[in-house]
Amino acid sequence: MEHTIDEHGSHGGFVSRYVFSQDHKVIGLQYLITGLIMALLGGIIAVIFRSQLAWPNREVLSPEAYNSFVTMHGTLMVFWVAMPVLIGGFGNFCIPLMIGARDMAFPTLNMLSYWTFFLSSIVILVSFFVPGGAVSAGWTAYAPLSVDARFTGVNWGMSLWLVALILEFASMLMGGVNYITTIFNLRAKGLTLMRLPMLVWMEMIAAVLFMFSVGPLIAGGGLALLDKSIGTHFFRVTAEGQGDPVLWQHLFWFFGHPEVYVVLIPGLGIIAEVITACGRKALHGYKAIVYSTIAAGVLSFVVWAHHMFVAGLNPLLAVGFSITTILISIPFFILSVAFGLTLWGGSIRITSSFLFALGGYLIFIIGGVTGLFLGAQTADIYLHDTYFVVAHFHYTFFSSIIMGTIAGIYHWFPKMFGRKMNETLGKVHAVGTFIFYNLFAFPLFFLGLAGHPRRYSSALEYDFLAKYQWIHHLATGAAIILVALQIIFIYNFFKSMFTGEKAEKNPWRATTLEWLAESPPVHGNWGNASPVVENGPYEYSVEGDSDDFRPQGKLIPTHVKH
Amino acid sequence: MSKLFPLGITIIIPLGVIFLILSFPLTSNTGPKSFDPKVFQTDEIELLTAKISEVDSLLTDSILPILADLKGSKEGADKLEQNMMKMKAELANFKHILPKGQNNNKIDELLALVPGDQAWLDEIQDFILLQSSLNNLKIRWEPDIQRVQKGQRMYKQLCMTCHGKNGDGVPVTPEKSVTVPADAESSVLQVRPRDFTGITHKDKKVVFKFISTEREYSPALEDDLRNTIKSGLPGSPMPGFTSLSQEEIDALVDYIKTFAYLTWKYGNVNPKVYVSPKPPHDLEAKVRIDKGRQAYLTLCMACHGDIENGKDPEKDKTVDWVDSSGKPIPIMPRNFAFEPLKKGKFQELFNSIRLGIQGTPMPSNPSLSDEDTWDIISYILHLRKMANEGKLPHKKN
Amino acid sequence: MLPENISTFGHLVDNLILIIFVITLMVTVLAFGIIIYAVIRYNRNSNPHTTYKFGPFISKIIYLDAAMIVFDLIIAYASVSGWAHVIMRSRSDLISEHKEYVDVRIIGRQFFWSFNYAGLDNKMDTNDDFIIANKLVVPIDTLVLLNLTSGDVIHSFFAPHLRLKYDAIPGRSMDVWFKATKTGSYEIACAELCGAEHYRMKAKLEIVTKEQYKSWLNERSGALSVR
Repeated sequence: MEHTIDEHGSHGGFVSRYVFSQDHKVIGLQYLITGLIMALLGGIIAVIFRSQLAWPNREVLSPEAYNSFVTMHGTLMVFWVAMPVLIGGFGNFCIPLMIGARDMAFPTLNMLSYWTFFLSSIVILVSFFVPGGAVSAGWTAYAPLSVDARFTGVNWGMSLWLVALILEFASMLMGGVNYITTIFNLRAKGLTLMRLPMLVWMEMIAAVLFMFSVGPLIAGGGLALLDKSIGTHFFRVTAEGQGDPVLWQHLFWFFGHPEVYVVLIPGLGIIAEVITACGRKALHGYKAIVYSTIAAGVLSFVVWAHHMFVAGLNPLLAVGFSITTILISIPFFILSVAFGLTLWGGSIRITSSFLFALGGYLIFIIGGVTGLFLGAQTADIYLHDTYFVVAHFHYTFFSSIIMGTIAGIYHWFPKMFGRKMNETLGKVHAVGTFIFYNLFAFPLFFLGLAGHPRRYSSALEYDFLAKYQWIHHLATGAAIILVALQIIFIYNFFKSMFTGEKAEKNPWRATTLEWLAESPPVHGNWGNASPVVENGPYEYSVEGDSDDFRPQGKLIPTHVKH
Repeated sequence: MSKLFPLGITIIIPLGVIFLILSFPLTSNTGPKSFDPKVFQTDEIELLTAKISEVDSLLTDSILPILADLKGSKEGADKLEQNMMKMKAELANFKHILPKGQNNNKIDELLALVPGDQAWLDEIQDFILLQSSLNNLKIRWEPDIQRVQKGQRMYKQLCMTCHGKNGDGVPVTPEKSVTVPADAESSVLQVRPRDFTGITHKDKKVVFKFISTEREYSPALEDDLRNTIKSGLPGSPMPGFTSLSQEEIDALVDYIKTFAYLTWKYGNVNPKVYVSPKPPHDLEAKVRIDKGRQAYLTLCMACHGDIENGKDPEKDKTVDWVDSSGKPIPIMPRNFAFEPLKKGKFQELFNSIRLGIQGTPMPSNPSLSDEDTWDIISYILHLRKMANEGKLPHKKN
Repeated sequence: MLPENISTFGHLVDNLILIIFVITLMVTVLAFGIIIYAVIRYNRNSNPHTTYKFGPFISKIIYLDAAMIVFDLIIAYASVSGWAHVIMRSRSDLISEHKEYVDVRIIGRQFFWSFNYAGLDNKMDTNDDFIIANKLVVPIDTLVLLNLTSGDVIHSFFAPHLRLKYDAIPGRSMDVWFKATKTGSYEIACAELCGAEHYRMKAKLEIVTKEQYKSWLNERSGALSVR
């Protein structure tokens, strides 16, 4: 431990301890809470525009407002919920604890990362209230619709959207640099790379993917901003045919596809942590999971054009991209099988975190297999930009962003606040969320097969769609209940934070290092001791052991230099 | 405190960057003009209705009593001046609704005058005369608000992208085509979309090209608009909206008329509708073609070019229309051989030759006999056939 | 759930969707069965003790993965062959294969489709072209060549019954084709968000007999050759 054992945040007043704190745990919780607030906002927005879809004749929203709401729902959920919660929240909170470090490698950078993110959140929220309203060109912001105010009436909203996005990416880049450095340099003694808990691997891969992919989009965002404000034409087309809107799509999706894996795989990491701890069984095929995730990450850089099969790509190019896209099913298939085999033969404790992880796992399988429909370019001719796509990415995202996150919260809540969440409420929440999510999202596949294009504020205009209006009713009803169900979670979260059952150091009897620390860990995590790692991360039910788990390491007292 | 220093920097720098970037749209003239969606919200219709009634009450309640009071006396003139002062402010609000052309200019002049001098009183006299003559016109059309609302939605969906959010023919399309450049062929919209407000006309007059009434009659018949909407204008980006129902077209026409509300409201009640004769059967006869060629060479060639000998029509032919900067917008004479005709049926073409085309240099030819007209049409038909068979020299652009 | 197929290549899309559906249904049902069985069979009450075993993962995954690769190959083959038939055919190839064809240039505009017809001579940019909005009339059993472009933002020409979707992008022009097999009136939608009225950007697709088409063309054509 060359890093100075400075107990970050343990000095100073309330503000420097809990507001502008450099402690990774505080920053992680700040990310988590901000992200969850944004998630709630995104959910409420979704309920509002789904009401418009179910009852289009009541004009719940004007077409302009509908587009704005749909766009902001997507934007908030991907960039202001998934990224901060899964990368910022769990990454910050878990990585140093899991690798036995006292803090991140760059604590100040870490703090700056959060506050830059906070600033970006304010910018994106302000965009609702500027003249013209929030951006309404879809979360993909396809040019030239997005870069010219005359097409949508949104002027400031789009500028703010781009600025907020660039800030958010800057923030996440700071976080990513920090994670990678921390994981490579601050691991506890004996913690080799292949002994890292799966979540740490996933966070690291996500951070690397993000770092490699985000450059083009930040550049693209800058160019779009120039298009918008000083009238250049990178993405706009002039009468002379200068400028190319497809360039934006390339830049966006070159980032966009790795990005969806960035928000997907940390969720899978959480699921891996939870099912091993609850299944009392080692993660089966640890190395296979690591390698296939890396393979999926690498592949994710060569599939971006499958979002653009019908956007006038050279047809030959589409063949290549289609094949790489179908290939990407293989690493995720290996990963799913590994999870399944981990459950097989275990001794499963059905806790609420396990229910969420299981639900996330099942939802992810559906999301994964439906990707095949869209990856096959000929089927994509028909299914592209229909509700099939919507249902598909809701299945993949929801598995990680919502189910994974909530599983993680139930799992690490004792570590975060020193108290346990209420299990009964948790199980009701888990089962309810799973059922109503499926009631909401599964019918959308059928809507997609019927040819319902995305982002229509009313389906009644079309004869071939009007007869499927009942699906909108069903989905909207389920979505309303789904969002309403989260009240249980909010109640449980805050009630347990203050009056929940006190948790000991290791309530789940899990093996990884973070459970050696106090609940909640002190500033500096380990006090006057340092963890030393002796074995792999998931040594459950080792034959010959008296206990059914063997902690990954133990704490050795050290002399703290002051 | 030193720990907060980097934090301060991180917050201040992005904020600075944001304001720097956001200040671009405020300072730059080259950026796209901001778009006001309010124009197309439904409460705008209410506003419109209110304005319509206000203008009406202005005319009947204020102007007419003043007219009665005036009678040349000093007191009357004073009272009038007071009322005019009050109305001056209000009038400024209604300018875009009042009939374009003379009336609007009158108001402009009136607004520019200083009250009290002799010219002011003279102008008032003129103005009153003008308004009373306006009142003497019979009301030929009143908007049905429900229909107008329906039309407004349809306009937003079908027309706005080319004819503009204000109906002034400024399209919501790539920059260049906002004003038609000199080399019109290269623009996305080859011709300037119709201006329903008359704001770009040099006399601020609402003008439609293809009408079936005498040339000086303005505006067009509703049927003319319906025809154009239904069949489109080949050779321009204007498509025929064939799938619209009669009801929908009526709504659209009603909404388009609100762009020049008073012009349509007090239009001529009984326009003289011109009905062209049936075409003769021997249009392809050689005699007719030869006679038609002679007539063409004397009457049409100057503008439309000697197409048969490979001379294309002349560009930059007219200055009836001005863009926002006061620059004239050219109109191209049609190339009969190679281009689709906007109104290409025999009788329509007959109408265009006979009545001329409003707002263009194409004159009416009332002295041309029916037979001569058909001869010219016969020659045009001949030209088009030759072009289709590839027998005509044509230097495209 | 798929709408009725009325194009010559629609069955390629439909069959591919069916193939993938069968494969994914199999995989999903199997996976769900195993997982749910595992959770019930191996929960704490029914299986209080488990054993630490790190058996070789590769032996278990290899057959499953081989099966998955076979499935992938089937899908990729079906998809690529369909793609080769539907999209990867140049305009000149199509024209040389078919004697008669109808040429339509489509311009997407906010918020309607503008269909430019070549007129009686079937040649674009001649004096008998005409344009109609929101209505595509084509003859049955005839090659229809569509040239897509846009006047403002990106639109996407989507005819669900034809199983055809392709983007109309400003500044680019895209060629696609179809051949209808059934007369009737269908709908065309815009599948790419193009602004507020995106959901109303609807056109009619009318497939008529060849004779009807001929007389319609005669009636519509703005050329002077009609009375």
